[in-house]
Amino acid sequence: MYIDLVRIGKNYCVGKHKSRNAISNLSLSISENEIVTVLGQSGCGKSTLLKIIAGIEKPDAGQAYFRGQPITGIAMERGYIYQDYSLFPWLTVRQNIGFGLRNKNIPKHQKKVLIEEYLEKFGLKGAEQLYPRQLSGGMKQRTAIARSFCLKPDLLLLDEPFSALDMMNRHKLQDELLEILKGEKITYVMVTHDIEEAIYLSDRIIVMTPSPGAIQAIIPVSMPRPRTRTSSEFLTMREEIADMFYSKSI
Amino acid sequence: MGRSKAIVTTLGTLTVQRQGKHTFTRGNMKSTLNKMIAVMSLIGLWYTLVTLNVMWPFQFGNLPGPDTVFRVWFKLLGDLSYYDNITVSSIRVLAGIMIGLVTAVPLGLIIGLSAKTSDIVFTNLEIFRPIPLIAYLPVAMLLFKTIEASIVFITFTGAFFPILINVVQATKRVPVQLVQTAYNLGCKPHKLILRVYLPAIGPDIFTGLSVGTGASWMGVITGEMMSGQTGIGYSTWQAYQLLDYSQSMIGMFSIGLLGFVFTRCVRFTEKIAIRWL
Repeated sequence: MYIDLVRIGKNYCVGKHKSRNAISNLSLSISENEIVTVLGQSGCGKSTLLKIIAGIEKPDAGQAYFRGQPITGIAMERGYIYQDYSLFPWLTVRQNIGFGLRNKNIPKHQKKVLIEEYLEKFGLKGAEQLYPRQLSGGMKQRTAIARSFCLKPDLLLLDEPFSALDMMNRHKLQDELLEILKGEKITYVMVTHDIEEAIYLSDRIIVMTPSPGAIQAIIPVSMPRPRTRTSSEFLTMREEIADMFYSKSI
Repeated sequence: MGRSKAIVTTLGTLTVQRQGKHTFTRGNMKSTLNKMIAVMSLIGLWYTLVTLNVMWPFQFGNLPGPDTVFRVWFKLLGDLSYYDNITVSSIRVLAGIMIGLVTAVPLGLIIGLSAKTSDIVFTNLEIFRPIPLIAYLPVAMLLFKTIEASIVFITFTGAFFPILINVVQATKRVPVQLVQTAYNLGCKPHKLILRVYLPAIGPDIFTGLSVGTGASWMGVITGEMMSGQTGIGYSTWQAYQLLDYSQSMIGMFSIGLLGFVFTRCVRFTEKIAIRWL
């Protein structure tokens, strides 16, 4: 498969000699060009899972593979977008988007064209000279995604990308993202605690349970896009997944 | 983006421009007037205390009055040696700050990034840090052939430690996440210093520089008073010994003004260099 996680385990140090089992014996495969959402409550190890795929953290047990190769560290082909966007505060929107392009071996004028293209695509025209502190949450989010996107990664990993936005902005950005993903060959793995968001965006939902983090269910979503949040099919699925969480926690 | 802030005063609502050119509003005028009144009354108080020959609790009667001081100062403004002294002291401070900057920033980065270097180098530096600048003077005189070099050594020491401490602390505080992001965007490890660490600690370099500039001025004055034959510190102390008290006070005020100008210059450079805050 495209991404293979084989019997992953990860511990966290809590205090001096104690460690907590964040993820235990987790196996998962993700295929190419799939939109996958990892859904779970806070502290279920879903962000850790994403960081393992990104190569930011190493598993204590098991092995993660990307295209059959073991994942050993951070790489440009696996773009990772942090929950708080992690923009460089000293760079303008344009410079932030250009940060990664500077590391690529492409002619200068082509870089300029690319930056313009992505400024346009992500609705950042007119804001390109602003610094991150001058941006709204939605604009920061767009800049962060554009910055990773313009490097044409094979895989995009997003850690609760819409959690800091208000509902109106969240819905808008979700639609924008789907629109952008349409034309691209990209595999997209996202972590969220929002059931509605998971159903709205994904091809497949991975439901995780906490302590230790493990997969409870894998739910394929076959509804055609664009999806309506109020259709009966949507609501039924939402109910089912919500039940899963409540039954587990009681 | 014009960031402006509305302030409600007794005169009504005023808009104060935070960035861009100062507009001469009523509030601004009033503030300037207040400041002028404050300075004038201080000078008035000084004049009164001296003229009435007040000797308790302090011996104000010993001081020259503002009229005398300003008259002598005005005459001095036409004297080349006055500017010579100012230039000499300023160059000493500038040299110290520059040498401090180019040594403290790289060293601070290395100490902040490597625990091993921190253990080896920083421990030794911490022994020297609490020593007051003036206490370095005997060793400085022995170490350097010329008085000039030993005074620059003092101004350098004054600038060096504040910059170093700020850079070390700031380097340790650079979020790991930003470094990981840079890697994720394809930044090579050897470019990390220039593209992430240096811009991230920029504001702290300037904080160190502001404090360091003050310390450097303190250093140059004491150094000149103790061992110099030139400079504004030397002339201030020499005037006192020659019982020329007006000159002493002029020296004192000149030092204050120079310190003020230097701090303003640092602030100005900071504003230009760090536009993102």
